[in-house]
Amino acid sequence: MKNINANANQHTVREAKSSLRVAIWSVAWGGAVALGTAAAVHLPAPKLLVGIAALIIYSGISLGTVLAYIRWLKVLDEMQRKIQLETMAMTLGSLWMAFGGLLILNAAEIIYIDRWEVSLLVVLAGLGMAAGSMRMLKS
Amino acid sequence: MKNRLKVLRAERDWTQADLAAKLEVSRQTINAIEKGKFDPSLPLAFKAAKLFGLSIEDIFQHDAE
Repeated sequence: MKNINANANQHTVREAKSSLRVAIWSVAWGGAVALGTAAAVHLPAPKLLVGIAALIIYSGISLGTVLAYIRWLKVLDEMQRKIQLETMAMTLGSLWMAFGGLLILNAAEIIYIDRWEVSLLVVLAGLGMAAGSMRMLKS
Repeated sequence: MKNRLKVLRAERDWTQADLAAKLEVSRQTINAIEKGKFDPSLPLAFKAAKLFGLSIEDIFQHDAE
């Protein structure tokens, strides 16, 4: 019985560690968008240099986030993976909808998109994923 | 799809967590299978059948049957 509980705990611990890693990378990803654009605007250095440096850092963080998500999906069991993949599909669709809508409104000069709105999209994606996780825990 | 997982588990005095650990899935997945909310994959069904020493058909039945 002890061995069974140890196995169950191991699975839970691995899942929790992986989820935490995804959360940290997601926050860093959202922050990188805002900080990268803010640095390009406000830092007293050539915009091209700051822009390229910010893009390299952002790309690294983006790649790290994607890899963290892949690792996380591998830790999940088949039902959890199914739920999360459905959630990811819904999140991706919602993001495309929101981003496209923002672009149209921006082109029509109804709103002006700045870095905060783009960062907000990443935060919204994170919230969508969290909603998916809640659904998983309710099962 | 109907299944006898809950009955088989109870016969052995196992909790959902015990069965989850044996099948290397989460407790939530066992709960969802028992309630008929989630149909397991063929490999998981085979694993469950092997664990209980039964055939897949003895554990899982299609609703139409």
